[in-house]
Amino acid sequence: MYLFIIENGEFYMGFLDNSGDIILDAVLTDLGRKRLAEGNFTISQFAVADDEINYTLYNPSHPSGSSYYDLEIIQTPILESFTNNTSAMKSRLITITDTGLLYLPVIKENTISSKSYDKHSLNTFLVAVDQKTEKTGDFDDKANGVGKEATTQAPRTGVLYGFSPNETGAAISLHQGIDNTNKPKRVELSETLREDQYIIQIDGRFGSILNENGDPVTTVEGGSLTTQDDDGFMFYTVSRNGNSDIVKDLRGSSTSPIAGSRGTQLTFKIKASDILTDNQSYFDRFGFTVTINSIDCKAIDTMVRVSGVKTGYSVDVPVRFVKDIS
Amino acid sequence: MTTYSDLNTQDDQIITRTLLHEAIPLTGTIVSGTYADLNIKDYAHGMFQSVYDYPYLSSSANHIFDIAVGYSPSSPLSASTNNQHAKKTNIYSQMAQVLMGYDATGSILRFDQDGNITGGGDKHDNVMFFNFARLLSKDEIKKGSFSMEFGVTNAFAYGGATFNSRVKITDFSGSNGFLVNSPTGEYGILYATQSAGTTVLKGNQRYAVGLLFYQAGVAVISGSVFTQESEGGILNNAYNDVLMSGSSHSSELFSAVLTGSSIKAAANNIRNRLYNLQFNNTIELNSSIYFCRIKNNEYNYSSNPTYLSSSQLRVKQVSTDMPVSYITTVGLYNVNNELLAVAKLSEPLKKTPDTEFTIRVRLDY
Repeated sequence: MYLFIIENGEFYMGFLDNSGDIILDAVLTDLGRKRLAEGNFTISQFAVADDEINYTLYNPSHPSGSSYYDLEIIQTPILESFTNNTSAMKSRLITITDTGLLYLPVIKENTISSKSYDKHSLNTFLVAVDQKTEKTGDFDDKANGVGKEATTQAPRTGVLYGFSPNETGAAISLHQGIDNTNKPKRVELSETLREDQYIIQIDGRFGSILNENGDPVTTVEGGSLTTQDDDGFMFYTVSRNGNSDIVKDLRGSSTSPIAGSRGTQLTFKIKASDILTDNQSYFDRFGFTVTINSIDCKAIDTMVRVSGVKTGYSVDVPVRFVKDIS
Repeated sequence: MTTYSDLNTQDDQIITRTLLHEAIPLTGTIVSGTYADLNIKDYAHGMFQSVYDYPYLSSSANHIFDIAVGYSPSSPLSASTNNQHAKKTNIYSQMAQVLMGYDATGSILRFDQDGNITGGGDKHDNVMFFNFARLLSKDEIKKGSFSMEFGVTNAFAYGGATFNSRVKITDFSGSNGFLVNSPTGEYGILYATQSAGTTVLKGNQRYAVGLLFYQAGVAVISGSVFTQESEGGILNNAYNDVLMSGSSHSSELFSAVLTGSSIKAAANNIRNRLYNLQFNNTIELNSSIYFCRIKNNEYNYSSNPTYLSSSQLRVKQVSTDMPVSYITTVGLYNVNNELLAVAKLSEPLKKTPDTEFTIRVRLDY
């Protein structure tokens, strides 16, 4: 088949470009192999991602013109597949039919609206894994501790009570919206861009997710959609339903790190796992020794990943599980 | 707004089956001299000998095949005074019951020369077994590709000797003529022809000297390839006897080795006469191909943290600019959004609202 090309008023004849046929070989992830072994392997959907792409390399002021804007991006070398299911597909591409969008929402840690949502001075959230570390129950001796101030006995900023989550303690709060004043906060975020569901990913060996009241995530909040992968990572899919205590609307009048139009807020606590509460074996294997507020502690640093189901946008929240060993 | 697209098993998935072949060439020196027999493994039970492609104590070594010899209890050579008599008959019977099966009375069938079991005819009663490792033969040996060459020069020699007179054993016509009356799948007749030397065989023709079980990966070769016509073999009488070094004598005939030597010693002798071996294997590859159809209005935005600067798209200056994204990875998910498989592109694929793609993702089993 021939194709006639008109260029500068002249006719050229060329062959059709058939290089668009793209065939890829896929590899199973470790979770895929586990599901295959369980006889529970059914692929029903796909997604595409751009994990390696650094969009800051996009140069719209390239002197050679628009064909060169993405020259460096196109030259990005691509890594081989990772087989760890939590390591691949970190930044998925999004389908939005409106091609005229100039702004997209982000998810930011809300550390400004309340002291109870702020991080610890170590720039991470601390999860006290037992009463001694929290300074609660029998250990509430009014002395200095990781969980409470010595004189005021006030809960320390950025310390989540992982053993007694119903006590006051801190919580982690995330706000979603457009972080740009060109989309004023009085203008509601469109339904297309508002996150109604989030996936919270946590290493199940260390902890589990609770709502802001310190109660387990309920079915109403989407808690029934909790899954666990082969490496012990827990995935909580939580939703903005009528009685949800975990995902709520974020009003324009709220104090928020989001500068522009606002969507929803996600607030949760973390319960420490029994093994972290009862002994130090995981601290010895995964952690280190550190002094926090003049208290000798053992600690494990990890991340809690929060992803929006609709936008795919995700943030990693740093979390440190701590145990008072003084 | 979404980050997933459904895959319909009717329209977006197809299962294919492909047969892949690999060439397996093996020179005789590897099995008889290159590594001074450090790649030859013997066992205390003495039932067979294993050949590796490298000294077997190394983790780099791969198992190639096993050699054993045996004879039928009906063979004229069968005698209780023979060295390892029980083991040799047991080996024969074990291989025969697995590869040939049983008759109506439950008796084990012997290896038939032409494969016509019900028609009776000549049997292979004194045989050598070559059991090829699954690592090499994979799902099956490709029919019509098998070739094995033995040196049949009168004098024996150790250590990778090149014999001037040789016979080549092939599964001639195996690609379109094979038998299916074995309990372990298909098998072909192995024929011997002269490949080097003059008047090596008793006549200028092919002689049926064994059976090749394709799926089982086992070659059963009659001792007649080392035996002259007057003693029931296929070699020219004028060509003199083919001597095999034996355990009790410096040189003796194959029949003497079969009766008087251990299986290990017999395997050593046979290996040293192996000049060349090659075949193609077959791998049955089943693939699921998923057609990931990306339409023009899909996946034009990204959730990449670098995609935005203060929530504004870096790839757009004004809202009328077309959004751009770059695909590097395709992920296949189950209904619970669990990532089951990943495929990578070789270079970023630019996606804009004026392009659409169908990416075929193949998952092999």
